[in-house]
Amino acid sequence: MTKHRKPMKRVKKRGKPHALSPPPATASKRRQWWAIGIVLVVLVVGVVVIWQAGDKAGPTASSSQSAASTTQRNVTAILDLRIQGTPQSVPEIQEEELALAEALTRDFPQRDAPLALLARVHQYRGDITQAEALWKQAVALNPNRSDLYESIGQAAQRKDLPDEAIAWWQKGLEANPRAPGLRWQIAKTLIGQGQLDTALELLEIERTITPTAARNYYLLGQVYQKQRAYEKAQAAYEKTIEIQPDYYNAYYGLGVVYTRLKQPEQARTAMGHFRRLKASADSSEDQRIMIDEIPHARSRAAKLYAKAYSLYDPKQEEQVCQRLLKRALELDPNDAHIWEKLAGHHFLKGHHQKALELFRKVTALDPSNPLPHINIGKLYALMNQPGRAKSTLQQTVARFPESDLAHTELARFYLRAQTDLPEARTLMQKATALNPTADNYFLLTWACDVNSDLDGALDAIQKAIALAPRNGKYRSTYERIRSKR
Amino acid sequence: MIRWGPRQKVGKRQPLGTVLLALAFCAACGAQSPSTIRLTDVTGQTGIAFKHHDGSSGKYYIVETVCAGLALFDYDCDGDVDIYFLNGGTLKGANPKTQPRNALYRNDGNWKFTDVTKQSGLGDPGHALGTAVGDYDGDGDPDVYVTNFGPNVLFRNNGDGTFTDVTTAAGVADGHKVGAGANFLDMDNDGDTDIFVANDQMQNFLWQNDGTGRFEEIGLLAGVGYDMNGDAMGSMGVGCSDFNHDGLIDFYVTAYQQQFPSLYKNLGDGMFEDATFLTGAGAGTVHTVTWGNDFADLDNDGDRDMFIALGHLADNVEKWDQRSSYFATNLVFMNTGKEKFVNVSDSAGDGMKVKLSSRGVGLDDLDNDGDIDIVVQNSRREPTLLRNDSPKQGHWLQIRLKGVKANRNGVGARVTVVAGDLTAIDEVHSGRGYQSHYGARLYFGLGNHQRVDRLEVRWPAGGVDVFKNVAADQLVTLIEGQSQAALP
Repeated sequence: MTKHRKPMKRVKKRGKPHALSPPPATASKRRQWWAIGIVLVVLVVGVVVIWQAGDKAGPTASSSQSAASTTQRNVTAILDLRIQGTPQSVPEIQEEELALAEALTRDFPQRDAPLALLARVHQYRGDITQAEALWKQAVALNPNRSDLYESIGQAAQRKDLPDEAIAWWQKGLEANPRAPGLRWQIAKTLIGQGQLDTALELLEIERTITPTAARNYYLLGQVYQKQRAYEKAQAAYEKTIEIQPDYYNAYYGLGVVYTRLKQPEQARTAMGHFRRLKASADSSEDQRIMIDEIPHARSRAAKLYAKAYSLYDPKQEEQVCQRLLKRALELDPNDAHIWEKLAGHHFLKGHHQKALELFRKVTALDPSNPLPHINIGKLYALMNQPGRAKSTLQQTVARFPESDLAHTELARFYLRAQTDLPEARTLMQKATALNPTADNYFLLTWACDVNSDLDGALDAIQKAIALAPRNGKYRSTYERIRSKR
Repeated sequence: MIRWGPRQKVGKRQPLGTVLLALAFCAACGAQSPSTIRLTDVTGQTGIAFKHHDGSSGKYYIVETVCAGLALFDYDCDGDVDIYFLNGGTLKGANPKTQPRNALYRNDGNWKFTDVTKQSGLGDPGHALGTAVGDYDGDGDPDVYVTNFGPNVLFRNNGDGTFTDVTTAAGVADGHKVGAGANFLDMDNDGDTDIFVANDQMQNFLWQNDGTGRFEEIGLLAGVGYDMNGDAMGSMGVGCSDFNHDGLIDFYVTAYQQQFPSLYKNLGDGMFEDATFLTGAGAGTVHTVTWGNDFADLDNDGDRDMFIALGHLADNVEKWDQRSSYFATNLVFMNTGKEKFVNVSDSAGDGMKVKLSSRGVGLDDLDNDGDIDIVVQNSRREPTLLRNDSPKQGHWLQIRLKGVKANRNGVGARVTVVAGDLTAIDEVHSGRGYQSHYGARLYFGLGNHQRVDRLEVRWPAGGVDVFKNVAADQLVTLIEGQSQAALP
């Protein structure tokens, strides 16, 4: 006889002794265990399914983090192969470039940038057909890359298909009506076809986009020469030379024009300059081919590594990024741009002292570049050394008076520090005169505002809006200033 | 402002009348009539067994790749044009089974040729590059000068079908240099002979004769030194002719791969203009290297067409540049008469389908049927002989000059032919195209004109002979000083 702790419910059944039903609490426990078990099974199955699906489909662009863990293996494998030593022959370097570029396309299969890099590698190897195919794949992924249309058009031109080339460049202009250089390419081709008036129209537009490009004026000279407008041609060639004194083709054109104008002495002088500059250019090229072939190839490979760095997220994949830059510098330790990238990498990671050292190195390697000086100033500000920040940025402005960025950064410093505010406004006025971008006008707005120059602020913000009409921040700033006024 | 937007689609049906009007307009605008030029490959039936050797041994010496030219001339003065093929020699490292030699083939008529090299004595074993033909001793038969990689050779024609090597006696060996292409011509119409030199990868030279035997180099100022952008070309061969009937000799200079040949249009006053793109004379040439070339009226319509030999110099080019190939088909451009050239190679017969690596070219009437035939020297292979089978639609006139005071072959003489509204000029040159010689007989296509109203010969010695009312469709021999002699 069983001892009962609780009253039991008797269930009567005929003929047989009645089994006692389990208590409600035990039944629910079983259901609970069943539920837990089912959930666990679902979880396991789910993980297996997802894992297998990931293997088949590969990483997607949206899952960059999971992609990174998979794709690191691709580029890491390339880096591991190059642990020590530098390649000693051009074919070796080219193989490394190709392996790296191919690894990038596997790492980022739905991105246009690695395809464009691989195309460039094939182009250097002389495989224009493959390069062209890759550019077309890249532009299909990103139709806004006007530079890719330019490359495809140039490939068509090399195949002596000028109409196809022009069609591709036109597509580039549809993607970006202000893309620099595309109208120049089209104009050059049209000149060859005798379509001089159309070429002229295009060059006039191109001049508004790239006003300081000497080659625009050179082509204008070629057009005018063919139109027998020799005085205009002369002026265009002279402008070319004024912008770029070593543009020997312009001297050749000038010589031809002077001959047509029956000015033999001037023609001889121009041709003399042409001969001298051309000989110098040819000599440099010959020397580079004869002597510098391997360093040139290494430099190009180094740049490819630097571009590869830009594809990876330095915050998520620091080791890969560092190794890419390290390899770039092994190949070309004199490339200031790569050192600058490394400095920027440390800047982003918060390694301020390291970044400072590296930016100083860049200033020594590339004295004509204002950016490292600007970054040094910004670093001092971040490192709570305002005095040094200010003096660095002031020196940068003095050293690079044509750099709008230098003016902008010093103005920004003043505005944040709430000091030298009138000077900040002056700086931004200069910056917008040098480079009338929406961002610069926006900063000018701020500078005018804090100087209680509401008319100036209003004028500046209206210009910013005109350049970037969809920017909500500009519009709200406009409203705020207008209400203040 | 030009709008470079998407092409507009034709969304509506065009009225039939508009379509017809458009078609008619296009026709009126000068959609040119199809080309009648037809060139047939008759190499197989000629009996010519010559095969070019470039002296290669696997070491890829540059001189292997640039040979060779050929000569078309009547060596035995029997009235038809014979062929002299230049051959490569034995370069360092090469070990041929038999010594390669130049080869002379006698024209037996009806497109049959006989190898007469041995008996002629012209089988020079040197590594031949170019040749020129002229009667240096004034005895009435053509002599041959061969430029070699190594000592050059002068062969004197003995007048009996044989030649003698007189290099040493004449003192013209000037060996161990590489002979390049050059042309003597009167580019400024001042009666004296100037010289154009096509230079590889550097400025071309135009030596202007000042009339006293002294020359001034004016290539740069004249506009023929470089292409229209001031870039040097890998200049190979040069053809000289008045392609647009303005009375001025123009040049066509062939070039290296990824470079367009240059058509320099003579503007007069010693000035030239690069008219390559405007005329369409560069189409289809950029993929490989262009070599021998010249102007010739292949369809007798009165305009000088053009033939260009193509082929890369590197037999492994496909390995490192997939844009190009070692073998290539040659090109023939039809002159439309409106300062435009049209590539008609695809419709010009099976002769234009031959795909080898061509070098020198010779253009002459090999079968004396009144049209220009073509012989092509192919590197490392047999030559190609192209018989002109274009329909006999236009009239023609061939002129052979015999100098008396001037040199026997009239080299340097200029002939002007006037037939109705057609005025054409030509000159006798020694050395043409790419390292080749041909054209001792001047050839004029006359189109519909059955007679030449006026024919003027300006001799290099200064004399001028004029002939009037000359019947077309014949070969005439004009002797210096006999302008009053009747011509048929």
